[in-house]
Amino acid sequence: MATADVSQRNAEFWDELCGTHMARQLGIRDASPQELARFDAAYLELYPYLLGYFPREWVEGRQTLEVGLGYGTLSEALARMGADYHGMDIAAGPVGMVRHRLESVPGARPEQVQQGSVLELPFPDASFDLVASIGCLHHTGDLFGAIQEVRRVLRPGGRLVLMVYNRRSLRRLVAVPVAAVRHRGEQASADEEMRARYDATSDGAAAPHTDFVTAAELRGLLHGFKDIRVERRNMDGLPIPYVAEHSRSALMSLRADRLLGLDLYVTAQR
Amino acid sequence: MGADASGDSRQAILAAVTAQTGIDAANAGFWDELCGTNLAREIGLTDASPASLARFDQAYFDLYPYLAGYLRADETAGRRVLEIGLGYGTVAELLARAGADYHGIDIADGPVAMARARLTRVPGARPEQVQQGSALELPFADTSFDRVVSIGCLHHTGDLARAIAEARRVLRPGGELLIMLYNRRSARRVLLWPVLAARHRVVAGAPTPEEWLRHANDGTADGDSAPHTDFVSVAELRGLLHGMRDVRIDRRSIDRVPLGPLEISRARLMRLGVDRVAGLDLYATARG
Repeated sequence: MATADVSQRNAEFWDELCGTHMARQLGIRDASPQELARFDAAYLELYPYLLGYFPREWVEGRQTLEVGLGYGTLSEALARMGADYHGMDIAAGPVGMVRHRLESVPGARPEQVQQGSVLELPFPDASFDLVASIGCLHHTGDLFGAIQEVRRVLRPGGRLVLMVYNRRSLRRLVAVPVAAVRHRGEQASADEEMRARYDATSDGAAAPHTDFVTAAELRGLLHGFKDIRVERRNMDGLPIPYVAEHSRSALMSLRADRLLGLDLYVTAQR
Repeated sequence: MGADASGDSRQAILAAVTAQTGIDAANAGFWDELCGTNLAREIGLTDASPASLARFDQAYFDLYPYLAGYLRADETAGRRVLEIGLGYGTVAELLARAGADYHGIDIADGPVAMARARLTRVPGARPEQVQQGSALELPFADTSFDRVVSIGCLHHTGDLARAIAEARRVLRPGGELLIMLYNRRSARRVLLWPVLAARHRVVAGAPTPEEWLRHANDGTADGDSAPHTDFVSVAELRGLLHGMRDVRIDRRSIDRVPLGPLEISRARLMRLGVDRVAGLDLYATARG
């Protein structure tokens, strides 16, 4: 699929906010501050390490760009920490949500949230002190190009915080061979099943494109950055009714995710 | 934004730009002495006559016997080919003689002049398509080449990721990329690093391992080394080529083992395939 097609389909797919499934589970009724606070609390409980990747000195008073916004939990947190926040998403839905959130943050500028592609960022070189992108760039269809763009808009010395999917996660080690057998070697449909396991809309459609990378490949993609740190995070629970959730936190407290986690978190300095 | 960047960040930007300009200038100076000059000296070359250059090329392909297999010159007839980093011009002449629509670029004067001189003697070749310029800002439109070839150059630019991005940019979809970069996990680096590190600590004035290895890879006879050299692992290189199709990376070339009477020759090690495991150079082929 050509990159332009991926972008077009991403604009449609991600219009349903990433996190909608969880919002439904929580019975979130509307986008009132109280309901969003309830969503954010659940989100940060699920990913308790997330805000730890954003030390205050990287955020406060800093020119900050977030790429891929979803439900806007991180966006609002960064704006409340005092970032000069800019947001960008390929789809209209997340842009609307984050603008709405920033309206209730004193000093934030909702007009700095806009719809557009990370493959052609509408910013001059060396514009930002911090670029954050959690679980987005692997969906663009051009991970290399996306990282080049992010590198371009970061100023020398600026920080990058990135999450992309780990190719060597326990989930993939188990599920990829199983899917291959189940789809009898039909690579395209096995791939689609894997994509849907990571990202699906409420009617079950899979994300248009998903890349999975190893930690070493990611280091290559970030060649030239300084202080590159890659950590594996997040884990499935055991696929057993009733214990799934408990087993997830048990495995994570045993640090199993640090070895075979689903997500690679990177911090690096340009 | 850029315009209202703090004094600190403005200084950081300036420093980064200045650093790259410095590397570019140093490279233009350093590589002006053709890469391959050591080999030319070893075989006693005294001029650039066709006969002497033919002798050099023969020695070059003897030293790197696998190179022709990666270049596949016979498949380049009529194709638009760009070579980045020209050295003594062996590859340039080979491709031009095979009928490629050859373009060459090098940051230094010397290699440009050499490749042009070689091409003037190749019927149908266009010496004016060899020019001085930077791999970091290729003066070509997107998707303008069927093949891009760069043997042992991009790791010297000071911005490897950008150099590869540029090579990928000018390659047409389906076009072929062939690059050689130095292997971070070569036997030379892995085995010598601890020794060199220890010597650097103990012996006053001994070079750091990085300095020593930089000189071992690209040093002139008078002790000068390449201004900048990156070493990458196979997996890192895979990352740099992410999104390209049919990526293949081979390890090639190796040092002899200098054990006096028990010396193991380079040719012997290569026959045994030791370079395929711990070789000095990574050859990557991929399609755009």
